[in-house]
Amino acid sequence: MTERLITALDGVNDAYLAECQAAREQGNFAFGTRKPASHFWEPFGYVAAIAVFLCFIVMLPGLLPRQPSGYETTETQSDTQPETPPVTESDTTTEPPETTDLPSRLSDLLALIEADYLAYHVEQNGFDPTKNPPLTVSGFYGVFNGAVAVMMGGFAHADVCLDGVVADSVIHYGDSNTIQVWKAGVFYELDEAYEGGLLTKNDVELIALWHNHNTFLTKEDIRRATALLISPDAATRREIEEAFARQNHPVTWPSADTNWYGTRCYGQFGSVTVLFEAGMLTWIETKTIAGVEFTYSSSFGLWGYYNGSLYTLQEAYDNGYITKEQVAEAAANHSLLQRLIYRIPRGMDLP
Amino acid sequence: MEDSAIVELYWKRSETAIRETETAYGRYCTAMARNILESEQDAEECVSDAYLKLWNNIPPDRPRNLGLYLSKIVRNLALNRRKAERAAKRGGGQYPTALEELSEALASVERVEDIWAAGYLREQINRFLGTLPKDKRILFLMRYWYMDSIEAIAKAGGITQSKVKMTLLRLRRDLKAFLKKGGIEV
Repeated sequence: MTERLITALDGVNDAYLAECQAAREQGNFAFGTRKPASHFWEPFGYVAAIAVFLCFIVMLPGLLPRQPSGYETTETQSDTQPETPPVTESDTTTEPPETTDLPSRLSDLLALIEADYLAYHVEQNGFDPTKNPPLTVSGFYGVFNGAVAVMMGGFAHADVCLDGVVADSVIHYGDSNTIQVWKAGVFYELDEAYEGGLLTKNDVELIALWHNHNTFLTKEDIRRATALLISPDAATRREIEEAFARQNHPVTWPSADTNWYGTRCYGQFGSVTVLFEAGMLTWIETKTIAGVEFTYSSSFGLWGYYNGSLYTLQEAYDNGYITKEQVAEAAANHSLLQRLIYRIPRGMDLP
Repeated sequence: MEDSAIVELYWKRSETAIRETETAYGRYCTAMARNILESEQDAEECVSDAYLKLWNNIPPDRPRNLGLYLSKIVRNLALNRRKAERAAKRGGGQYPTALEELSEALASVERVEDIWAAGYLREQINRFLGTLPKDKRILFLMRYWYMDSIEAIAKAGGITQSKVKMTLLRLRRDLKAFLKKGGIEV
């Protein structure tokens, strides 16, 4: 059949073949919107360009912003030590990339992706939005250097599963819908995005991990996480601040606009408000309370604020102020916020 | 020598016509045949057959673009030879790879064959090519008409091989969507 298609190309319009023939005879053709071949340094020669590059490398450490406090230690670093620890591939999972040319709010970004997806299907497939369900982001996998991995709803065929291997990672799909990667208005399949250099192998591994374990974020997840970041209410916050102050412990509340690293609230359960704060020691720590695990990429504290006093969450549970089920719910919220924070560039506002 | 002058030699039945054709388009046609056939010898034989066909066709034909006219003959002869070779499990080259790539665009053998017989598929492909920007059309035809290698296309386009592969992948998907919209089962 495909042979038929190749043969059918015999009937290609001569004008198209002539332009192709001309391009082949010339040995080059202008593809896309490439920049002109000349570079700014050409008048100075390549030696000058290399010198400028080396100067830039030498000056680079002074130009870079310092890493956040989570990377700092109390030890004095000598001049020969790098200011930041060497970044391995696995480190990228804990450090969200900087925002590139994306909308400043996550909700705006998702709306933009949906608009682009709709426009593509209207143009390519004659999709009629008035006669069909809306095409929305049904799964959000994160932002990777300006490329956004999403699952779009709307066109799934339940009887078709397109499992695949991308960058050695196996992706299991439950229907015909596949993960799409959006960048600058263009959608790519996951393999295209990887092959085209939009995603690293590590990015694909993370996406596969989250997808295969159903830990990608839905819009509802994002809404819930946002609600957590702006809770508790102002009056309760003041009470908690006073309780912390009695322990000489200042409190910085996170917000939905860029600062997610303060004292987080994982929910109010009856009279107990569960609170979390990251510590300074850079090891992966796990605490088990009521048989429920809380894991974080550094040391951390968990508290239960109850009736004007602060308790460790363990104490709050032991005293019977909070149930096992409520601890589990707090742990789920911890996981939710972690997932969100890992997937969004630093500097992007939540909805 | 200009195309028109070479064609004139054919009309005068001058034996120098084939030599001039060889000078003007020999390497070009051989490279094209080599893209489809694995063997250098087969490619040369194919081009020789094409010259003979050219000799037989002109007159009465009077092609305005001799290079294009000749390349169509070469392509057809090479494809036919390739089909015969495939039966004997010989050969490789760009043809099987390009074929495999294009297989993503269409799926239903019987239906497509019927439609193709009616010339509808050709019409749809031309319409599809008409919707493409020039650079993408050139890229598509370099790969699926001239059977150029990914490497050669990347070099000609001044782009990476990954970019070529990605663009071709998208073009195949767009072709699939276009054919589907035109009623060709995918």
